[in-house]
Amino acid sequence: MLRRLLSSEEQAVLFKYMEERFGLSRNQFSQFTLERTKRDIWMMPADVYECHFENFEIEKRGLRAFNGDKHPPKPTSTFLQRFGHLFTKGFVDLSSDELKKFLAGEALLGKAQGMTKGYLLIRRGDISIGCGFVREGNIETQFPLNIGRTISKDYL
Amino acid sequence: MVWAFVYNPSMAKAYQNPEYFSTYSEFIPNFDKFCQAQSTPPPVVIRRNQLKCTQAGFDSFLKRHIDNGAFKGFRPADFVDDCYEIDAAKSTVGGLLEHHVGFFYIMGASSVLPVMALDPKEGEQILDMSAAPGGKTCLMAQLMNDRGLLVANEPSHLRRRVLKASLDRMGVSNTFVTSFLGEAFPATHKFDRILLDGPCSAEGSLRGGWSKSFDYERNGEYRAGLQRLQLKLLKRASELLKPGGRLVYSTCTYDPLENEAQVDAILKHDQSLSVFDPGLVGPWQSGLTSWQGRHYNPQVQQTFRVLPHLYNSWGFFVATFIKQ
Repeated sequence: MLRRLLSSEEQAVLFKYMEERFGLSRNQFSQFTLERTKRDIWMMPADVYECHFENFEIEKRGLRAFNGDKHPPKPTSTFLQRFGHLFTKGFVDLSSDELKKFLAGEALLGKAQGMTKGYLLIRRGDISIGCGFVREGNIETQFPLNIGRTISKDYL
Repeated sequence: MVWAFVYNPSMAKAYQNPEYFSTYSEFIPNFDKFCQAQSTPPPVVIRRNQLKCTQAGFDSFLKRHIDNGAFKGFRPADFVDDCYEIDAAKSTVGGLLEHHVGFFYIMGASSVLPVMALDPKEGEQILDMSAAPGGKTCLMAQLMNDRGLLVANEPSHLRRRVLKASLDRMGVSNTFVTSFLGEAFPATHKFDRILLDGPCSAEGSLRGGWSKSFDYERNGEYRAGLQRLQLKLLKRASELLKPGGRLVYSTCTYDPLENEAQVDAILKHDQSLSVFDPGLVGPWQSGLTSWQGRHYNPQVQQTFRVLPHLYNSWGFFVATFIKQ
């Protein structure tokens, strides 16, 4: 898999977006290095990035943080679930019934009135769950349906 | 290594017969109680993921599911940090939203012990040679505060998929996933610590269950092959360890030929290794110094065994080495 370090210009664009959309500051991620593959953006501690092994095929390296072929990049569930507690904006807290619909892939009509078009974090209380997309005041699910189906709806 | 279970009470009856384990009766104390414990499932234990969930958040999670009836009760597991025995069906716990977003990992309490013996530290370079399904790997990453480098190796494609899913779910970022045969892991790099939780006959993790893949007949050829592989893995692990580094060899089986005999063999092969006691407090049994007429290096007394009637979890064996 071809990888390259995200250039400082690309990082500046990414963090500007993260700050404007989600209230995240670059300082909160200072321990991480960002790498780009053809499709995605990965993050890992600098120690990992700096480690070079000869004749060493690596199948997965770090945490897949963004789907990088979207504009702007789409934060992955892995990223949102790990760092969602740091978000100061760009999130919505769902009720139990709303969450059931979200996990089933249904749009939440009128739930994001006043929010600008784009990605947002779905939360249930203190639990960061995954990604939604705001369009015309509605929230469309971006959460993998196969995982949504395996979550028990009895104790949401 | 943990095998897939298919619980079938009628088929389990044959396995619950102490005959299979009778050869171990000479070294397992209170053998009847051992057989009773072995025939019942272990408690459902979950371990909090410190990368995602604070203690306060976890307390709130436990209370919420007591209140909504998902859990009938819970208690902290003995002798291991951040682990709780949950009074609920495993399927209920596994279906919770908090499980899917990585607030916790379901694992046997005794599976935590090899990682405690390894004692991973932030900033180190650590190898997990047989990493799937990933419970120990994720715990190591957590104890490293998600810094340093953790190489999670798993040769099986199917099991590697599970490993990667575990790492994603737990939000780990300091990991390389590799797919080498452990015994052929490239010796171009040396590690501070290595966990070899290798392939084994898995007698300990069969507790209360029945598995179609388990070798109930004690097939000599299969067992000998397994033991040869274990020794090859140990030899390679020793080669990959930095001087002063720490190696933990663990299995979830009771068979001394896969445990103390392997420790004895690697000590003969590599005299730079010595066994030491990691000082974990608990009702463990010391390693055996002899078995079926074979005498082992006295250092094996510093290894330990976990027996299900003395510690209510899966059976385990843990040996900790230091390289000179």
